[in-house]
Amino acid sequence: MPDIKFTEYESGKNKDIKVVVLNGSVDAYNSEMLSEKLEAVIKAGFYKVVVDCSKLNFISSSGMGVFLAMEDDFLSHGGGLKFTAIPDNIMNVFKKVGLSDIFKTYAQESQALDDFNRGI
Amino acid sequence: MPHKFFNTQTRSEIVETLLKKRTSIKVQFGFFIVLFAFLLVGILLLLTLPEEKNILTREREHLGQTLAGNLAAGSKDCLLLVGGELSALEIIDDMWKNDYTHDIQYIFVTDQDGKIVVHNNSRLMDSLLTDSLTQLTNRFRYPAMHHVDRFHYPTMHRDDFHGRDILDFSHPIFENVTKKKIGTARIGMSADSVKRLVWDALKRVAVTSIIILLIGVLAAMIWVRWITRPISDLAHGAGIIGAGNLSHRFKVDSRNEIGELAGIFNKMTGDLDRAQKELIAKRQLEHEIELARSIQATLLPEHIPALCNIDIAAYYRSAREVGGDYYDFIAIDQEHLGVLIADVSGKSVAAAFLMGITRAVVRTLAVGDPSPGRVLARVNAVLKTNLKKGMFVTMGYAVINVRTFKILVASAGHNPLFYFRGDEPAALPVNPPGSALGVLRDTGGAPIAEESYQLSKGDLLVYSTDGICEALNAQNEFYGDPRMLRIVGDRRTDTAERIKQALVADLDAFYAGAEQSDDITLVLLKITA
Repeated sequence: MPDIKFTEYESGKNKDIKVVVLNGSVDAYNSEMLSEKLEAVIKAGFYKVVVDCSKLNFISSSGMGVFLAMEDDFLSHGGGLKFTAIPDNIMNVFKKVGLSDIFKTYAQESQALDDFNRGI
Repeated sequence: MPHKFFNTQTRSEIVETLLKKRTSIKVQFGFFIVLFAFLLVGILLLLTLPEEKNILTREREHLGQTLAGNLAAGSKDCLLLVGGELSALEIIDDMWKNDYTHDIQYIFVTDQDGKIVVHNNSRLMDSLLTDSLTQLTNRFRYPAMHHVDRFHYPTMHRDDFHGRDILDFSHPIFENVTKKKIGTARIGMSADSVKRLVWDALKRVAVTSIIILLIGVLAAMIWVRWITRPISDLAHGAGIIGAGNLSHRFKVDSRNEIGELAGIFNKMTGDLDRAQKELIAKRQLEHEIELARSIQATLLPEHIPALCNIDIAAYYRSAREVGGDYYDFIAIDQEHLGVLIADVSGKSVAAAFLMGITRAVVRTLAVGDPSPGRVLARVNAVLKTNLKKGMFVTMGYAVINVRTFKILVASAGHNPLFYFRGDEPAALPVNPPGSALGVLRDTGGAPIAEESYQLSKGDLLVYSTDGICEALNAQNEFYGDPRMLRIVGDRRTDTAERIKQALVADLDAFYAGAEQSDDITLVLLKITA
């Protein structure tokens, strides 16, 4: 079973944006860890979340399902879920499945933060 | 009858019981300790008693000699002076009275002729002794001891003397000035007295030893009980655990190997408990997977459509724990055949369930509708209300007009359909845009894009899922679409079935015995006429 590790930090003007860095791979079996992580972030009161995929090797349909399932939770309270630094191979899958139509993707964290600040 | 009771059969039964029966460790320990203690005491006695006997014997002889010497020293007067017997008589009286154990049988003094000058028995005074022993000792100028038969002097022993021999101690008496021998002092002691003394000593030693032995054994048994109680506890606890109670733990008290053993037992039990729980969980999971697999098996088409002008081959092999791909052939109407391949998100029973729903919805909506894009949009509209958030299905759907060989291709987030056209060496990826089913919640039924192509004889279409291009082997390499296309391209002119077999064989070679990482799903269509 592949490993997924998370690191996180706060960012943004008001430190109200949580950046979660995914390190490793997400498959059907550790996708639960991903969902628990995101639930914890929401429980802590962060609705604006940036997912940093620079260290993400692979993500399965279950992993993508986790993000889809929690889309509404992030959109509530005026928040949202954004992705940055997605590797090309994963980006292809995002586009194919249509995830890129639902969640905004950026090359850099700063662009994502800008959009959050602008309220989009 | 005794004889009958102890016949061979009974005897062997008894022996078998004694030998084979498990005895408590207390009994084994205790038995061994008692045996050892007895052996120890036995050896001790064996070593000390002979020496004791020798010492006692020598002491007795020494006493005899001393008494005789004292008598000799105090008897000079009775031999030299008339009426001088008094002091000697006093000595004799004293000795006789002090002889509590009645060992002394006679005390007397003779002159050189053998005439008894003083005797403990006054009646024997002045009698003449002519026996060989008297004659012998009269000649001696040194003290001596002789063993004699009790009847040597039949009148001269105590009434209660029942012993065998007598030790006769003789001591010469010398005149002070001339050093001339004037007489002999004689004392007879029961030789048995030594034996009796030894026996008394033996009894004392024996009693003491036995007392010590008993105390020792008692102490040993208490100690053994104390030591072996933890062992009994361990045995008892092990029995509880063996009966199935894996939550039982030992209190680790002893600070020796037994305590260590208890600690190890606890760890082992904990490990066993965990392993058992893991096994149960694993079994449950395996059961779920089996369930999912069996559901999936019912969803795949039983027959591949046999058309005279289209050669179709299909293959599905699920990975161990991932489930979710399927393919389908739909008879849309007289002219149109729908070919479908899908990849359901999620795993196991959930994926299988979703696949069942999807398949039913697609089959229902596809019949009669030759537009793949429209069908997919309608399917999405139905599914989005029936799917849990986060579940989605990618689907490649192509509709072939079996008379005109026109093909319409649509995709809901799926891998491209590879189109080997005519003589072209490279395959064309047909990849119309479209989000996966269940991802977009508000398509509003707007059609998904379609692409159309005109097929001709010899054209080959390859539908796959990402289980092939993203297949991962033990060296962490991806199989990749290019490799698949190369294998297919090399057999371009072969039948669909042969190409399929070649691909499966190449995938197996790629995995090289490693566990299959994802489902392998494949549909090949070749236009033959």
